[in-house]
Amino acid sequence: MASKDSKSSRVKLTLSAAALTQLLSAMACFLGAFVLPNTFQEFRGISEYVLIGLGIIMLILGLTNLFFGSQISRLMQRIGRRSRVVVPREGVGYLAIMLVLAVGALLGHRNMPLLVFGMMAGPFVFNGWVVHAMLRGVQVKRIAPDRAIAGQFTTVQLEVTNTKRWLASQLIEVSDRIVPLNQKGFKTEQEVGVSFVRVPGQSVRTGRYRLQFPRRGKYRLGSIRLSSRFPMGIGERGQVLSDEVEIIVHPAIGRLLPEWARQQKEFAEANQRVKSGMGLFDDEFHRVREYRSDDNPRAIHWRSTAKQGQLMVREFHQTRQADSVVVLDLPDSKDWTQEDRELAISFAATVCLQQANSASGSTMLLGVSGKTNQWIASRNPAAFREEALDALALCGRSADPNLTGLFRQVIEEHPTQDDRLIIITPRPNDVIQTIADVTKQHDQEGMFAAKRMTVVEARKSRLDEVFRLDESSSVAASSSEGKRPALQQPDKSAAVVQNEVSV
Amino acid sequence: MNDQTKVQRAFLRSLSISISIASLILAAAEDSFLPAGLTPFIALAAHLLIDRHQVVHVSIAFANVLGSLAFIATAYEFVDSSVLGKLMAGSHLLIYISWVVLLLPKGIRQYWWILALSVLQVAVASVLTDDSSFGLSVFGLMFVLIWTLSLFTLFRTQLRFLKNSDSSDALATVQDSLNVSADPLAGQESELVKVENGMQIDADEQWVGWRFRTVVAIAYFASVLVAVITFLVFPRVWVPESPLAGLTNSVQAALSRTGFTENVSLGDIGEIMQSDARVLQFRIKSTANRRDVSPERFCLEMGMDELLFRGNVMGLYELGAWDSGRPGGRVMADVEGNASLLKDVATADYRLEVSQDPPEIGFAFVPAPLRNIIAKGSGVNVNKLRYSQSTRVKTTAAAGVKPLSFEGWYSKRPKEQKIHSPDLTVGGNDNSRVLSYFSDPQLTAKNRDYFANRWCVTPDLREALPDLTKLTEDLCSDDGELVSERECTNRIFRHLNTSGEYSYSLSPRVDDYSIDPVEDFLINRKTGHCEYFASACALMLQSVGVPARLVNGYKGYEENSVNGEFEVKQKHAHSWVEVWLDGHWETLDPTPAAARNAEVNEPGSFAWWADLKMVMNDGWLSMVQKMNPEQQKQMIQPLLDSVKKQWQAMKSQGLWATVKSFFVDFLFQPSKWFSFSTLLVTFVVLLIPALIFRRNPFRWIKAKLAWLTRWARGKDGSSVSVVRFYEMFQQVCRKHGLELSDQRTAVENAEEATQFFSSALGEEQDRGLPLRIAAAFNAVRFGDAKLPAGQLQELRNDVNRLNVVLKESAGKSLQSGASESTTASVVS
Repeated sequence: MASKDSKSSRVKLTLSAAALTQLLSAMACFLGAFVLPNTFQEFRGISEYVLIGLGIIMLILGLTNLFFGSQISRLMQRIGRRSRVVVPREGVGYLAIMLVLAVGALLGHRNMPLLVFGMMAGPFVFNGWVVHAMLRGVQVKRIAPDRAIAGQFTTVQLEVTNTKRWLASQLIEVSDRIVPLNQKGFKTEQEVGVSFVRVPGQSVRTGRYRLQFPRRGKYRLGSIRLSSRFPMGIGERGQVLSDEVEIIVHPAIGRLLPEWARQQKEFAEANQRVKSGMGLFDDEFHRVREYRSDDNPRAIHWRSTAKQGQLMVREFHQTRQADSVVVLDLPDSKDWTQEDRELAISFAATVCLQQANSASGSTMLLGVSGKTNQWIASRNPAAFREEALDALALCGRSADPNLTGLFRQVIEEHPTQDDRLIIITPRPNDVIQTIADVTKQHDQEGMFAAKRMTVVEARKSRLDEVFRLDESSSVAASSSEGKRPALQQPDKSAAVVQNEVSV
Repeated sequence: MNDQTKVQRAFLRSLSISISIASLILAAAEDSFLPAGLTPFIALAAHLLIDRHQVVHVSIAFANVLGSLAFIATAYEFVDSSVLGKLMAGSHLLIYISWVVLLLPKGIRQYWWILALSVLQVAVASVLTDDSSFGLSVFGLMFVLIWTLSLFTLFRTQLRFLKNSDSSDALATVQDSLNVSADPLAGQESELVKVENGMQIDADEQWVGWRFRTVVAIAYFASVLVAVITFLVFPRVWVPESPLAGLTNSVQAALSRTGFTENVSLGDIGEIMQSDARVLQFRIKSTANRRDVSPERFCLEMGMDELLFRGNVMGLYELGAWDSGRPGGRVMADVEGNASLLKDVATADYRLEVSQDPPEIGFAFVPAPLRNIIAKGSGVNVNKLRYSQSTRVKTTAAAGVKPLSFEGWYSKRPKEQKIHSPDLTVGGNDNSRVLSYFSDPQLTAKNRDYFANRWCVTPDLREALPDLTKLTEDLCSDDGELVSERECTNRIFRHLNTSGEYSYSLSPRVDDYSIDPVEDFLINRKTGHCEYFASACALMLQSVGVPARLVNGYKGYEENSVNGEFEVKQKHAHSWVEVWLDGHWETLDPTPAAARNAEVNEPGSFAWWADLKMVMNDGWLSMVQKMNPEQQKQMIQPLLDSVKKQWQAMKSQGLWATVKSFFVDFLFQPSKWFSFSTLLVTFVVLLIPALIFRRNPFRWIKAKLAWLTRWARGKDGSSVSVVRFYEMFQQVCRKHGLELSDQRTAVENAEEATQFFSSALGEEQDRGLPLRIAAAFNAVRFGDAKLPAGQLQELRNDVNRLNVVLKESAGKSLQSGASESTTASVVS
């Protein structure tokens, strides 16, 4: 759990009990200075001045607390004092009625309104004492995952420990703030929490709340705020713990439609290099078949030839899977909506996951060309999965993405010619041109031509043909648009743009 | 029914009860069932039909219309009404708004409104009443409100949890209006993180179980304690010259009814209610031995047949109304001079102590003849009037709402005073005869005659009341000649009282509205209450030229069965006649006494309850209503005196000697065991250990001892440090997402860490870190090896290095694009 500065820790902007107490004390001092000397001779002279001085100090403190309460609260939190008793809106109304009664009684020379005033003061004072006692000796621990997936529920556990000897803490509210970090146009803070009905003394109770993040990115949980209004709800004590933790929310994961699988298979078949080689490096025996022209004569299986009476050759298949490269292009284009972009990122994440699940021994690569270029490569599926999803969670668009640089990096660092290349971009033609330019510059002619390359146009209409988010995930992917995309059946007639690039 | 539904229903029930009780308190304070008395029925209907079964739905628009109507009705009531009327209009507005809110579909805001309106209704009631039943009711309501607020807190907790859940049908209708309206995130749902709040409750925990009830009970009693202390110590800094003070006094005066009316108006016939409300309580003491004297004994000694507490005296009659004949009933010249009054109570034979309940209505009710009257307390002035012999009261505004205390001085029957001639006695009933007479020695006969004829003979009666005059003349004439004044008196008295022609009734009806009500009584109806008998008698006497006047006040008394005090109640209100005969006033009571006594002395259904209530009211009055700076001073002064005394003692004797002296006194003087100073010292003595205990010094001592132990052990070995570096290794792994199991060996854990962090531990030397740490741990832990300080430092460095590498790796993978140039982080 990374602990951040508590500058942003929020305390509710309500009349604090400290301000209230100070103002009431000031009033009591002034009243005392006015009344006591007339009634008791003992209070004449120096006591009168002491009371007035005390009243002025209390008044200054009370007014300072009233007007600069939140700033003082932040300051106190920084130096370690994070507890604050506040009077909620309902309590302020309650106090207003009490004040009217007191003033009315003094103006009307009546004891009955003062009796009602006392009747109201009793519960108020008692409630203040109880809420203070409820949170004393209470500790909270948060157990939260550091990764989550957009559109899927994540559970966070809160552990409340009551260290008091015998007094149970009742109706404890533990609230967590959820703050989106580094997300343009999405800065709304929210609160979520768990109510603990009763935590007996010397006991621990565990509660949970659930979150469903609307979109990928980084979020901060915290500060934790403990509060209690028990029993009457007219006073509240709050305690802020600057226990903060960051959660990286991965893009929503969908599922690849059969159409995608079919096309990929067809594409793979079309490019399958069935070699009748000797299997010296990367091949292994597949079958014995009749001789075809251009077959290597050294592959002739003479024993079978003798048996069959015709030339038979041994066929070797390439068993080592080709490395797969996923390239995501994130230009800042006006005609590319955020919904399309998020869908494209989800699609990239889903493809990466699928590759990580199905790969065995091959290297998986992800390149993201956005605000910054990111290049992730791994043979370890678990590591690749985590790093790729993290990168996709945090990637951002750019007005001028360095796509050329990314392709150059692909060529320089991963010059294998058998890679499967999947490019997800809203501007397929530009990308193809860029590839052509890069290959020319690097004198690597034929390299990309040899690769099996799929260019997926990152538009919703296109992506819907091969990829689908389930309902909750689709909400996540389209959240920035404020509408839920209707699930559409893919148009079978449409096809993913598949380009076998020839340069 | 699940727990959520139970809490919701209990809360809604309690809420309805709260507003109902508050409204009933207001209705009692207003002394009128309508409109506040209807609230319980509306609350019940709203609870059943709207909140619970949802049969009726009142739209906001309709509620707005109802609210507007309420405002219009209240405005109509408010305009052109008295101060009391305006206050009533305000309270009625509160009631109408309560009804509208009750009829609305409710959310959190509406619930708070209902609670606030309940409190406001009680606040208004507190201005309207001083009754002890109000105090008791408020204590009761306080419990209900604490219970309701506590349930509300539970309910809101449940609501918070269920807000994101669709599982609760019971709560589906509850709109959390407070949150909805204040939600700044409304309309951004798709942008928001969907949250599901959690709730933790033990399986065996009940929402409204015995624990909850106990907490509420404790809250109530603690709140009552705080409330009483707050009430007692709140400084009574009454704002002088406040217009509100006059307002509340006038409200009090208007609301307090005594059954006594200063002026008598006849003709408004209706049923006279016999009220048991107390008017005054009195006690008679002998000045000789200061002992209590019974009223019967006092009457006997004074030559009275019964105690008549005189109020106003009226001699002029016009159009059905009696008037005393002077503006305001008195002029300065009326006030009896000091010379005619006794100056020393010791010279009197009896002292009548009276406490007359508020409001002040201008008269101090005392029997005559009176030798002097003395007011008690500040702000009260009582005067005895010379001509009417009535006793007038004038008080300040502040004193007017308090009981009026005064005492009358009496001398035994003067020698010249005699019981009236017994020939007026009828049927053996002493109460029906002329009661007494008294002389007025300070007035000359001329003045007396002038006064009697000027103010006690209504002019032109023959024209105004021809039938009455004719009847009287027929009655008082023998052969066309009027008989003597005394004979006239006797004949008129007998005609009204003993002829059997007239009967006593508390609910008479007017037969003929076209004639004077007294003539209607005499000629047509022949039934009426004391005012008709007295009026007829006085007017008949005046019609034949005999000065006579009507006196109203109270006749009779009762003894309180609870505290033994003698009390005069509203039902004792009475009117009688004083007639000027032979140069002095004689008292006549023409009302048939037997019938009146039967009505007045009829025991109430709950006489004991009335007596008890009266006693409670007195206690309430002394403890609550009369609380003022003087009483507060009396409460606090002992504390101040005690502190001062102890302080002086300490200054003169020193601390130790004072403490010693205090405890010696305490031990050997049982009277001090329950003194205020003992209470104070006990409080301080208990407070100090309580504060010490609260700081929990044992925990502090324990922590310090543990620190000392660690420090002592850390001096001679490295065992702690050895374990520490492995613990640090475990912490680093945990921090980066790998929880090492205690069930495996250190080497196994190290291998797992190497594999888990393989992507981060790229360099060969880094890959060996976990195993190196594990090996060192095993060597020390199981091989009993002693590591030199240098090696320990190396191990610590290894752990730090591991931490740095893992942190860098994490940073690289997540934020690899910090610069424009492409970076590669190859993890294999």
